Amino acid sequence: MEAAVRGEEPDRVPVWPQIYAYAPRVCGMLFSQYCTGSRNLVKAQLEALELFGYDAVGAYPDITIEAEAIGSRVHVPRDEIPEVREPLVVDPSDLDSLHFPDPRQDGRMPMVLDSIRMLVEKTRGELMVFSGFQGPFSLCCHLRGLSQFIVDLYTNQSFARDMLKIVKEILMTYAEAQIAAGAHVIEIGDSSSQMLSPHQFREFAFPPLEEVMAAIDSQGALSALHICGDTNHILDDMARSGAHLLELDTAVNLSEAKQRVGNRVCILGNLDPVGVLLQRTEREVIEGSLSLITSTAPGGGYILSAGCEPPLATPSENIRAMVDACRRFGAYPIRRLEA
Amino acid sequence: MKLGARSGELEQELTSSLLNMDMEAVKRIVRENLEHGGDAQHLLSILMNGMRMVGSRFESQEFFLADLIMAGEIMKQATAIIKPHLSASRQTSAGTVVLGTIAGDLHDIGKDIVKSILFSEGFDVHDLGTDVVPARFVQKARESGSEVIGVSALLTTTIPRVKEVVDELEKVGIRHDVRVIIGGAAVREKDVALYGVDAAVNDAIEGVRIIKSWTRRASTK
Repeated sequence: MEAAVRGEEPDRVPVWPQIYAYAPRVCGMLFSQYCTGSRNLVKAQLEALELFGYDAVGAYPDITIEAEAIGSRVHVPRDEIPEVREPLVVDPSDLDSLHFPDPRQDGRMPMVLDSIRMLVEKTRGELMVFSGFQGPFSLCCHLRGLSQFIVDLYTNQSFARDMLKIVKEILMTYAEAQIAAGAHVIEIGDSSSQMLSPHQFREFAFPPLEEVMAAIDSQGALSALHICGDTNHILDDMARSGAHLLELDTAVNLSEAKQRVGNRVCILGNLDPVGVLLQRTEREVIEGSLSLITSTAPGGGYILSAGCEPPLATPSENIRAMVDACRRFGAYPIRRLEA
Repeated sequence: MKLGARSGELEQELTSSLLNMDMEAVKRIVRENLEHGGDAQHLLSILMNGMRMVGSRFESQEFFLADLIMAGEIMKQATAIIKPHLSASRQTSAGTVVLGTIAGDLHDIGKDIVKSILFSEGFDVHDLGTDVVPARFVQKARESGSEVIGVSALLTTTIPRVKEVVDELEKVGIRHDVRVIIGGAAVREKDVALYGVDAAVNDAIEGVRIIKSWTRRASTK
């Protein structure tokens, strides 16, 4: 896995179906148990790993961890994914009193750090442990409300930049704590930035992202950038953010992406999570996986996955089929299919 | 002659302010024009035409989702200024739609995009927010005389609950008066048959197109 993330050719294409929220389903655990206790999270992660046999584990319970530690009210349903209830920064002046969280104390950040430590210990350095957080732009959207933060980009740009700067500092501290706990890959999910124009992405989302990536790199860890949806219009900037790994969704043609940015970053993706993984048969999952391997894996720097996390209702046979396909057809050198 | 030239100027200035996403300019022009006795209906139709241009620039990828959201916000604020100046008889509505995210689901981005577009197309939209129980959709549709219920659901676990909306409509005997459309990234065409809805889409623009085709049909009945 590490060789692939560093852009090299390993013995076999690694496979990591982004099993985060899906993990508790595997062992019949409620989501609210999974995302609030490190022992539960680790148990579910290890059971899912045992069942499927892919090449990584993840300590990233859900996307509300950072907003919650800063002070947002978060709704944790019994068996669904938690959500930020309402904006915390209602008036721009609220920014001045924003709580700067201590990852060892605030919200569920300590629980994530514990989970990282336990997963590192249990996997004995044989597997990469992914952790991560929401990217600066997406976290601003959580804290300010999505529509309002978009409006800020047009009407109050200096405020938007200030907010991004503060949030970036918070995330850099959290990244440092995750790396100190032993996380190998810090995955930054900045999917709200997919809505921006290329110019807006470069002006607002990119600068803090680049700084966070550089900080991660300087501490010897690897970084991943996850932006779902159609990212064709920002792909080149994503690649020059300093991320080692780009997680690309189904709307991006992976072999084209490999040509455009594959010399700079490792690429992970991108079987259709709904159209194939959720709704099709094992055979179609295998066919889709094979086609991705033959088109994108040659030369290395590729990890097989879906375009995003598997939907919670995905049949487990289909996840297993993806992993099996990788084991059967993913050994290097990859034979290209003749046209 | 002179008035015509001024009217053309107004149209150009207002449209270009909207396309430049200049919220303050749009509000200023609208306010000034109304203060000088301008025609509220005319202002509204200029802005609605401008929103159509925003939509087509989005489809041609000249504009992005952020632009769509911003234009929707501008339209919302401008309309709030214009509405009190419309005479009752001229407040023509393209139709009335009840919108909401189904119970158990708190995702509102898709719903809000649909709302902005419907709004800019001249619809009256009753937004029930997120985590809405099925009966509430029906109750609101009855109260407001809406001909369409739009249910948003992102989670694959919440999509099936749209059937309860359909069942409730049947229970209160207005299934034939109200059409139901479900929208969300994981929604597929097969959900129409599965849950007995009238349409199922995973694309906001397509959803609005379908709603418009229904209300057009309704109005020519």
